[in-house]
Amino acid sequence: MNTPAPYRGFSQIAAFLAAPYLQEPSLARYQGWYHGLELLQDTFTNDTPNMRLLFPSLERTLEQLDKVITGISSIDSARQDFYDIFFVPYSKRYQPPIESVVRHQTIWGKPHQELSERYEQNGFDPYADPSIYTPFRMLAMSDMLGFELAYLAYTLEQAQTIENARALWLKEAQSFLDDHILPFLKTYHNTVNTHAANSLYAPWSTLTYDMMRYILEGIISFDVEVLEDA
Amino acid sequence: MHEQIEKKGVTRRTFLKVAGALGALGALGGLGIRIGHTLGQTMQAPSFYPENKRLYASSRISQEPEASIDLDTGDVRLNPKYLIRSSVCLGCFSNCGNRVKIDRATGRIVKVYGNPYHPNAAENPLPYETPFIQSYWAQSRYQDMGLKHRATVCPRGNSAFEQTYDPKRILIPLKRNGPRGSGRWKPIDYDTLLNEVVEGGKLFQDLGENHTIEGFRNLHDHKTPIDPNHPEIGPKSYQVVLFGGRFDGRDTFFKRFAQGFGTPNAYGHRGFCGSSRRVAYQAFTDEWKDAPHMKPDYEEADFVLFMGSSPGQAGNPYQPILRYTAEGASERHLRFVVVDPVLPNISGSQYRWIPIRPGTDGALVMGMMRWIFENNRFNARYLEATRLDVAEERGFASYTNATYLIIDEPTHPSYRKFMRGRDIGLSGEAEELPVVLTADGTLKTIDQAPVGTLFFEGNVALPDGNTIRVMTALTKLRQNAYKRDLKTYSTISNVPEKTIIELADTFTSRGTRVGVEHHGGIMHPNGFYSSYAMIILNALVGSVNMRGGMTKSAGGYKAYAEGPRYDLNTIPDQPKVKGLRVGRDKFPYENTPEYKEKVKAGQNPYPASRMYYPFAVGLGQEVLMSAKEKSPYPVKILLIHQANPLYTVPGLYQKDILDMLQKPDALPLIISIDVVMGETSAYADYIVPDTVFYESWGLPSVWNGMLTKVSAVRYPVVTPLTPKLDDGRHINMETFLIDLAKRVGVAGFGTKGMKDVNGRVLPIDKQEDFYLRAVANIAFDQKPVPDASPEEMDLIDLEGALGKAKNSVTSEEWKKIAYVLVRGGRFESRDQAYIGDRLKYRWERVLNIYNEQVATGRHPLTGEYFEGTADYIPPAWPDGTPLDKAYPADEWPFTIISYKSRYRSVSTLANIPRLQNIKTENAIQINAQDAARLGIRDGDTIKVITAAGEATGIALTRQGLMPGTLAVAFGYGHWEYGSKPYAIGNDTVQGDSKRGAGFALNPIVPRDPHGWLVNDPVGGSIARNDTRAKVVKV
Repeated sequence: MNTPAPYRGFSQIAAFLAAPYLQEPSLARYQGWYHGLELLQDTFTNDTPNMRLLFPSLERTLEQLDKVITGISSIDSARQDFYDIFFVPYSKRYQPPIESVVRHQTIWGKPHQELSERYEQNGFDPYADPSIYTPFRMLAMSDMLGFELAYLAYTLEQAQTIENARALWLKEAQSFLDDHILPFLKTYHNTVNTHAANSLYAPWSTLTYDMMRYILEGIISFDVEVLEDA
Repeated sequence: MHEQIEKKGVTRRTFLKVAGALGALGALGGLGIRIGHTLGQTMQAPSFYPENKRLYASSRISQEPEASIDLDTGDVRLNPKYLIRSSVCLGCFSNCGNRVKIDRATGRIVKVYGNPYHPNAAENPLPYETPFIQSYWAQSRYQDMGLKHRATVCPRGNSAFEQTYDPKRILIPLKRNGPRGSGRWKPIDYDTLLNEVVEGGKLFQDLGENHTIEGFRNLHDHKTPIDPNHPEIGPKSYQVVLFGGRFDGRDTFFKRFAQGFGTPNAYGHRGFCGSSRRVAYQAFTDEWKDAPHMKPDYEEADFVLFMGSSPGQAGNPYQPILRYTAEGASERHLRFVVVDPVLPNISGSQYRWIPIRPGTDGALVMGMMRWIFENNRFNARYLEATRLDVAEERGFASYTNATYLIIDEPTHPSYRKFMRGRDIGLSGEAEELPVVLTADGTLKTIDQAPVGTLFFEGNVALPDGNTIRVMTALTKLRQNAYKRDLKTYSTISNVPEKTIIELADTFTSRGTRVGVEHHGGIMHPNGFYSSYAMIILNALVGSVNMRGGMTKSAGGYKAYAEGPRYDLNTIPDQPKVKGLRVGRDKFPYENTPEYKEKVKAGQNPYPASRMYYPFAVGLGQEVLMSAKEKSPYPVKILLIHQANPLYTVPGLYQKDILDMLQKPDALPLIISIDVVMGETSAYADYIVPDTVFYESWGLPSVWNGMLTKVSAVRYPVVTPLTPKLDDGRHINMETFLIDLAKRVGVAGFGTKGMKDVNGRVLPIDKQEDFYLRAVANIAFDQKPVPDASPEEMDLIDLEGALGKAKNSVTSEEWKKIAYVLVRGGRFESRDQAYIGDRLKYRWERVLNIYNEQVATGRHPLTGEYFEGTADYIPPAWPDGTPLDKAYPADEWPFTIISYKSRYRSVSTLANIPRLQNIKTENAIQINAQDAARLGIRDGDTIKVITAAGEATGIALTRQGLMPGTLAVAFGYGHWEYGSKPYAIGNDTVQGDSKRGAGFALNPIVPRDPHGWLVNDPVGGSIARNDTRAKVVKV
């Protein structure tokens, strides 16, 4: 392990992808997300010409963002997508990004209880950031996709900075992806693409799913020896 | 693995670059570690545009907001299309403060919100001095104010304004144009209406009815006795009976007419609502003039026992109970239990439902008490204290009469009363003081004995050498608790012994941070004793007046009482009223002519020929019964204000009453002031159109449970739809009574209507003369409120609403009144609720575990003394026959009860389309096992048969219901209320069947074998939830 660790990169991708699930849309945010995706695209494309094959939804995601940034579609409409998909059961597009709901058809289910304890045990406070949409902070649903991605980012950042506990943090990240994020996203990205296909959240969910699978592979492939030591 | 990912062309280096790139963006790293910093940096300040073209609102039909807030500066931009005024809801009786959004173009209400200043509506109310313009912040995300000071209304509050625009609303004076109840009416000129009801005469000669009806003028007679042989009954003026339906903040005005007219007969809904609880609290506090009652400090309590009441389902004040309970359970240590035959709409780990057999709540609580006594789990240190100062030294904020000695010697003149100083030879100030037994066995008055013996029963020696048998109040309570063992209490209530013990254990394990909230469980003939038992539980642990314990509530600022500006309680030249009320309430049988004559004739005076109620007051359910029987005296005029006893009183809507109503000689004149053709108004002779609550004044008291002062004010926020008179007033209850009073010369209205605090006589010629002056009292009470600024007055267009009426008060008062009206009332800051671990507003007098007044009262039928403390008494007919014996379970296997729907408010709100659409009708709920046994499934039509009749409805099976119980939501199954057509002249007001959907229980509630309503003999509550029934699948 003489080469620099790549986990901060993983972490920052996870954090970046969490943002639309935690923040209310605004024009500034759409611009920020667009810029972030461009950076990702540029970075990857320099290394691999088949970026589009790896992340087929990336272009669609950029298009959705661009429509709002350029005024083809209004930010009000984008904000309404956020309300309808995340909050309004009778909107007919209601697809709350909550693991208990998606995987167990309940609210405040076992994932919420388990993750609340897990976050607390590992020193992670998901609700402190004032930029998170206040109702999300107030609800404190630990199994919301945004909080789960944030936790993944947290574990990977820990893996980056705490070298002597790296194996444990990577193990935590891997199991979290395996047990929660990936099975959750596998279903969620399909349903949101079915019921809210024209929103940002459809391609963003697919992109997130693909990127999470990629990060899992990255954790395993780059650090097989570390994991074996754990 | 490494190779696999490398093959895809993404290398470790890629991710290192990603970290650099995204890090360079300055935003995306370390989420969860520095999540606030990073995300906050990336995503610019959010923008929120409440006014911003909500064309894409979720419902796609949302209105434009009334204002928009700049989230950076807090600047409020008002939408000129709308006007916001503060008011008070009357969707139920919680009187939550709200804000009404009015379309300026149409003058119509379009939406209702919570009032962020009002503690009923907001968990963290805005500071009272907050400028009105800034109150808009509390509806926005500016600085998260919309969350911090969020103010809400419930589904009823959201929609009740629709009654203003009810197409079947009565908007003109009506006179019947056919027999009573025929549904035939004709319009009548307001002046003619007044003339006819004042002067009387052959008012329905055109219908072939030749009897002469006495009008108000003839009955305004304080000298001529109703019965010359028994002048003590009262004068003719008593034959005018007023019947109001609701504590809507207008009831004080309505009652003023009775006071000024000189009749004691002003009734409300108490007798068929919470009377027994009221009387139980009167016994507990020994306060018989007012009716204080207590509620838990929900937010700070560690344990609350809800009995026949539950947060968010039933119990007032609705919103605060729900909100504080939720807050306490989620953020603090509150656990709570709901004891009810019906599973409430609650979930959560801090809560537990305990099903119970209807009418047996007292058995459960007496079982708890038995366990508490057997295990010494009562708070002896608290109960020993004989005085408040001693209790306070010991860390408590109230004291009881637990140690006071009761004379238990039947031949003693003070039998069942407390021993007093004079009984042990003391005189002077000590003469009246209660006596306790000290640890050394001596008798001392409480000024000499800081503590007393808790348990004693036996003879004590008196200074004169005689002995006398006594027992302590707590001993008497323990005796009653020990009348049955736990197994028996369990069998009676269907609550397992283990659960009774758990409840008692939990209740006595939390120190003083516990309380009992109750209501539905007292709608039984044993309601008083069940209620008294629940109340005394609090005294056993010392929770009264303590933080997290029980509160008597802070009340409000002075309004009608002799206030800082006006005296609205005193009526100049008010006739004295002393005599028998027509409901035979608050009147011991022993004071009646019947009793005296029987005694004089040497007869056993018991049983009385009719029930009398020595403690309960306001038994409105008895008014029509008494009118039918012309006993204790005939009723000549019944004046109803938005009351509907034929629908709301169990067992009243039956043939004898309908026969009586249809023959006007028994009750010659019925005038109903109403907004809709209710079941009772349908039998009126005249109907006076009334204003609905948003068109009306009202200074409603908030139901108990508020720890700081709350004085809400309702004023006409929209122009009434009732006819406008030449002088600019609109017809409504107040206008009608003022005009009526002035024609007849009733005290308290007209030129000599009232006085200010300096004794200056002032007129009451319009409703504002009364209400604006009451608001002036509120504004000037204690430290006067500031003056409202002209800008604030403009914001609510106060001039447009009340400008023509402001001559009722001084200009100095007007500015402060405006300050109150702008904010919807006057509210004390919640941070004033506590002084250390005690409540600021406390009940200072002794708490009565034993009440000697009740203990020395006698049942008018049996002649037996009433119990002086809590007890379990099986539900029974007035003559004492237990209902279980009267209705054997093998013949009548079910007890049918009603519960409160969240989408109706007792008898009202059936005319609200939004609520109709949420819940179209009620169902007859039946326990799933019972249903399976009878082959009943969801949706089946079933017939409920009682001793009084039968009715059909739709079955709903559920597990959440005590077996053997049927439950129906109250408020459905109207047979009038606009559900059926009626004629006004040649026009027909069509019926709306939606209003009649569902099942009404009251018409099939049976009476006793005499045909009497089944009331609690002490507390007066009617047996609403004791109807035995059988069920047949149709």
